Amino acid sequence: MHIVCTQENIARALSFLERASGKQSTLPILSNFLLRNDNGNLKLSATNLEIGVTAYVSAKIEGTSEIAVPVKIVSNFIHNLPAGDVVSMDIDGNTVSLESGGYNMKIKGLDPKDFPIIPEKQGEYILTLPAQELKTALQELLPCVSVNESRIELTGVNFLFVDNEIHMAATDSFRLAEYILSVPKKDISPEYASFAEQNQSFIIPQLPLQEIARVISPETESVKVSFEENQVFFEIDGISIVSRVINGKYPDYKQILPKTYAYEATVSREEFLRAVRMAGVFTSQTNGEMSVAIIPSKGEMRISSKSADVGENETVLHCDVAGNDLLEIIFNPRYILDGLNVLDSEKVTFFANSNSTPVALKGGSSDKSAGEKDNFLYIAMPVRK
Amino acid sequence: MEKVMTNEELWKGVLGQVELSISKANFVTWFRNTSILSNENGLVTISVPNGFAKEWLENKYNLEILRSLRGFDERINGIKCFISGPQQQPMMTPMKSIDAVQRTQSISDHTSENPNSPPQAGHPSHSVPQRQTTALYHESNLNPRYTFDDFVVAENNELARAACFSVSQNLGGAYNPLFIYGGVGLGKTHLLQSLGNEVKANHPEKIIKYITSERFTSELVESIRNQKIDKFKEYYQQIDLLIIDDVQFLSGREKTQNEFFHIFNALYQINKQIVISSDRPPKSIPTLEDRLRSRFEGGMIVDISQPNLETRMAILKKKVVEKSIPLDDDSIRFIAENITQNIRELEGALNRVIAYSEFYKVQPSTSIVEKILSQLIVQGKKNIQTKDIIDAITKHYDVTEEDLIKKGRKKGISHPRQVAMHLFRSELNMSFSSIGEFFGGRDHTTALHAFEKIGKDIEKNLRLKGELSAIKTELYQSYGG
Repeated sequence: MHIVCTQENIARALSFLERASGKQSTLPILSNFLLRNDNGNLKLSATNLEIGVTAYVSAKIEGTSEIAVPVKIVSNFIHNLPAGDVVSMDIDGNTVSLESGGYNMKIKGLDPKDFPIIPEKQGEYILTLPAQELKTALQELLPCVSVNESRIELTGVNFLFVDNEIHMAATDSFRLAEYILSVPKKDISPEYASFAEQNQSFIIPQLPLQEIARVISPETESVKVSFEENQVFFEIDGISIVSRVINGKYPDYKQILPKTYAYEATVSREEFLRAVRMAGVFTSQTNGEMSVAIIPSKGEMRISSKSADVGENETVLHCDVAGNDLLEIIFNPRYILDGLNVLDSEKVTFFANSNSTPVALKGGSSDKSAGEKDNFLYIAMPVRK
Repeated sequence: MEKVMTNEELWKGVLGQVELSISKANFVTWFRNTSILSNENGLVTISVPNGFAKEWLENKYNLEILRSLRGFDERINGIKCFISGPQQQPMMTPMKSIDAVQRTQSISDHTSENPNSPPQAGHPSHSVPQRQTTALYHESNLNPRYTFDDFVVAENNELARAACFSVSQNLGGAYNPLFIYGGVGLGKTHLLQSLGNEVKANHPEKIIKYITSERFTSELVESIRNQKIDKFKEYYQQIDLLIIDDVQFLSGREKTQNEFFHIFNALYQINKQIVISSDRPPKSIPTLEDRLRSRFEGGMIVDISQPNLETRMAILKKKVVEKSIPLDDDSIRFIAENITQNIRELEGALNRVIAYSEFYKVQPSTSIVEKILSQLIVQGKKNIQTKDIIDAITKHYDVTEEDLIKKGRKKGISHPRQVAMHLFRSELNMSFSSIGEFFGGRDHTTALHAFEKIGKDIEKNLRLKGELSAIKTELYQSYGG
């Protein structure tokens, strides 16, 4: 089989395949990718048995055959080639020869029959999501996903389908982030309508979502999604990603979201962030304690931390405050920091009720003047005294 | 099958068969967390953890699985996979009674109740009625071929045999620990195995473990690597009779000795029987920790020495009767006279004679036996002279005999000289003073030093080891050829 394609096209595909390929040595075939002629299209696939990635690369192909080749080696070769060059590949028996300009490489491949079969969806994609918004949502949610395998249902992002909205949530039980994504009316297919009617929810593991966020480029317009038999399929710009969904029941987080708040404080995000980072100096990573005091009478928010051995610090922020008496809440600064980091507005509002109930962070000021987005909510639990 | 199998049993049987036919990596990858969801109208639905396993089982292993399923139930005519989550899998829960050793043998031994005897095709483990004794999970490693009845008792081993026999009649009561030592091929293993088999025959409920120290070490290492050290200890501490063969190989392995020490103590304190064999007495095992040595010496130590001519002949006669070979007394005497060191070799020689006579269809006579065994016998250490050693040394190192003997400490000469002195001692068993005398009237301490130096270096220096074995080969071949 003879293949000719551009370096950019194949390099892009390989970078995604490399991340999806397996690293463990028990099944060496997993560190390879499968290269084949699929009805005149160059099809590359890789898997680590957790997710499977298939990429179609535009290329000129002559002949049909397939082979499994070590993804690391090929990727190294391709990425080191000067951009814009044309790569030609020849597959002869179990050897692949790569050539571009004066650069040559010959690699031994493995039997394609040993390569895992990547599941393919049976039906059509039922849902089209706006790519850029999905990417933003994922970037805001993924830091909150739990890494603790003991609660498997928290190691993914929950997708709850409510009419034309998708409520996406991630939590590690210390903090929670929720993003409400509206599906444009024009993209709602009858299949999705009936799907959303059943109020279905799925927990999608972190790994494929990370990959999706990576594959979405600034030019990407849409992401196609489909759910079939406990598996989820995505397609973005010719790259397909398949993963299983996590079996389990996501906690009913909606009921812990406070409906009303007794305190509201709107501050500059930049200043708040700076204060929390400073407070972090005197707290350890594991059991840091930072105090946030809201003083409505003075229109102040004081952020302080102290360590008996090292020292202490305090920052006074002037802000618009609504509320009654002084309220002091203790936090792990890391959880506030993560929330502030993903909110990208100029001002943020800090909502609280008491020193033992969840607090919320939202972008923008509380009166929602300039049409700032209200679809992302970050909730953090205080440290109980 | 009269008994209706549950889905779980059925799948266990299938896994047992599939495991034998594919590699472990493949088995673990594709069959972990699988189970049968339903079996209706000939269609078996298999629950798999992900889409990859589904595709692979449906497309690559489908025939194998189906064939295996049909072996249990003719009515099954199709399989289908369904992806479901891992937490619904009952197989995830580890079986309580799997012990450390079995874990080390196979990561995925949830496939059969008794992983030590992998189910053979047609005899799946679940169809065997399961005895609910813990002994089921312990492999004794005993070879039923060895019994006390086969053991030829003679002067050299009667004490050892008597000690073993009395231990077998009174576990933990007679001599504990029992330590048997003796040279290679003199019957230590036979005695230990007979002891185990005797106990097994009389008390099938007892947990018996026969293990070589080598295997013990590797199991220990494996269990440490898999972080199953607790299971390993637990397993060994349940044993009623622990037989450790060739304990000298523990020498120099501190961690193993340490673990062995604890297991030893644990068993000893609850009066469980321990039997140990070695090729030398505990005192002579180098780098054996003192606390272990003193414990070995605290029980009964018996040795098996080399058999005398009568014993060797008795053994041969017994074998001849066993195998009903027509071999006259003269031939037996000839074999017994010429092979003196080792009973295993004695048996080997006899087998050689038997094979020869069967192959050529001749009645073995003394002359034929002589001819057959000529090669074996020539290889012995007999009749090597000082001259042979000197010849080999001069040839190997390209020095002259005069160089070796005259005074002088030239580096090129002193090494061959020391090797020669070492060989004089080890091969000819000459006294140090006569060795010194031979090499130009040197002091006996010079010879002693040379012998010890080479003996010590040989442990560490691979090149020297190679040299010596080359010289020895030369020595015996040139003589024999």
